[in-house]
Amino acid sequence: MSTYATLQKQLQNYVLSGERDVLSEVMDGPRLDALGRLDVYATGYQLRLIEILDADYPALHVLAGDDLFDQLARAYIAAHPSVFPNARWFGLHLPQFLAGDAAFSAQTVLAEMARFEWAMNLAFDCTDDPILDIAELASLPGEAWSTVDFQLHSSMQRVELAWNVPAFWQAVTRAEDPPIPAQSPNAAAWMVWRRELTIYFRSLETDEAAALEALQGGGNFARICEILCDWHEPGQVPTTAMALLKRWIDEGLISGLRHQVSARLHLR
Amino acid sequence: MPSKLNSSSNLGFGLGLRTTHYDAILETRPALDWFEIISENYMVDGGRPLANLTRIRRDYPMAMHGVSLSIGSSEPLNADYLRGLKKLADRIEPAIISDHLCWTGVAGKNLHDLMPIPYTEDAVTHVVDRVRQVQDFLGCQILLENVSSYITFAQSEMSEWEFLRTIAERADCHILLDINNIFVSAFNHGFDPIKYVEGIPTDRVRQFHLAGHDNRGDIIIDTHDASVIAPVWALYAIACKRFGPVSTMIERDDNIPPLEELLVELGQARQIATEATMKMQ
Repeated sequence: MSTYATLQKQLQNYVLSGERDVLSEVMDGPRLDALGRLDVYATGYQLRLIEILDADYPALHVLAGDDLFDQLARAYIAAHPSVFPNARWFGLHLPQFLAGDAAFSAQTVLAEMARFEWAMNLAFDCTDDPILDIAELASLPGEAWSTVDFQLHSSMQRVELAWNVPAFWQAVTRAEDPPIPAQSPNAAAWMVWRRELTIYFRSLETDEAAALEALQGGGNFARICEILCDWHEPGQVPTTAMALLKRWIDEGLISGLRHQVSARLHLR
Repeated sequence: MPSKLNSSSNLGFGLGLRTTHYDAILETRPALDWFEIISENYMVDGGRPLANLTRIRRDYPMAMHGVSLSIGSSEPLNADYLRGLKKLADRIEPAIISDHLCWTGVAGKNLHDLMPIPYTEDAVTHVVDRVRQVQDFLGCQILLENVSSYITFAQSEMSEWEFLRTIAERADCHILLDINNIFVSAFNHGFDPIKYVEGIPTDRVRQFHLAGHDNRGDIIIDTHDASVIAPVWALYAIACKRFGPVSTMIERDDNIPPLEELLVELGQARQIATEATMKMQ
């Protein structure tokens, strides 16, 4: 007779990999033998996790089709058994898995769609950060511009995409016929974010993508200008930086200002 | 000693809160008494789930029903999970906090299923100690639910209802009696479901679950994807007679119909419970 802890490991091993050590611990039922009864758990495990992935990656399912989606889901379940109490996180590693697994990595569109959909999932229920009001920026004294960092909304994520996955995703969401998957020669930067309860996404020009990247570490206006010098004439840089900043604030991408001096004082 | 909170009061007749019904609930404020949430669905940082929950909570009492406490696991309780559960409870002030008498994974893995426990004295001792820890941490009594099960362990020393009763009494927790799960397990294990109901102490039951299932001939799977069937209603009537008015809800997790359809089904529960408890008087 197995101890309590061993029995649980044995039953889990049957569910995860079909190891039969638990069989001697299980009795036949009135209508089904022990193995048939154990299979209820093993089958249910697979189906439940496939269902979770389907809910988190609906456009990937349409893109891959039923058979390939089932195949990639089962491969992912085998490679990444859930370690999360909350099923919401089970699909976390699917984008990396599809990019790295030999059976799927050649179809790069799969990993791209997974990356895009997971970014949406993260934006969906992340922290309710505040959104900076443009008036707060307008009231900033001139000398403060060199000492304030702009805080990006925590829902903001950048995704590099070569395929037309946003258009495909949008069509699936609207129950329309999706476009034929098409790949551009070069990957473009996209961003996904949430304003209030609505999720948005749009593509980024290379200068804007670089400037936003600078902000991800908590950059200030001078840093944005410095980055933009690689694309614009020095005389145009402050105007361009200001226009970008205003757009980001209008879109709800900036959650607040951090005053570097007071932050340092606070740390003392 | 954990507080009794208000789980001793009868909340009436409720439904599981499901995302497909958000709009209908917010627009029509349907006539039902309370909602039960799956706790984990709202153990997130923000966004639409918590925003909708907060709005609906203003109009309805709530029960928090978890699926990942893993009270029967042979491994230590998950402190992060418990902190998340308490944070949500502090936010929505539920009338009831419940989870299942089961385990969900060991060795750092989670099967996202309600795995069965052998009905032994050792398991009773183990689970009782953990229920006390959870109740001390949350500061209230919890309800433990009987699960549908598909296997029988050779080492079990007592019936499932003796196991559930003993744990509830020793840990001083309450019971969420799932009438459908009794029916499902009775079929799968070949016991008398009425004997099960009669084996549960009348002073511990604080909530009933009702649901549909999938009868495959040689086994019944607890799928929550169909209406409650007549024999489960009959067992519910027996339970109502034994336990009196108890908070009742219908679980529907798949093949979810429009809200109006579930409200009609809930009306059936209300009618059966009313008739059964009238006969008691």
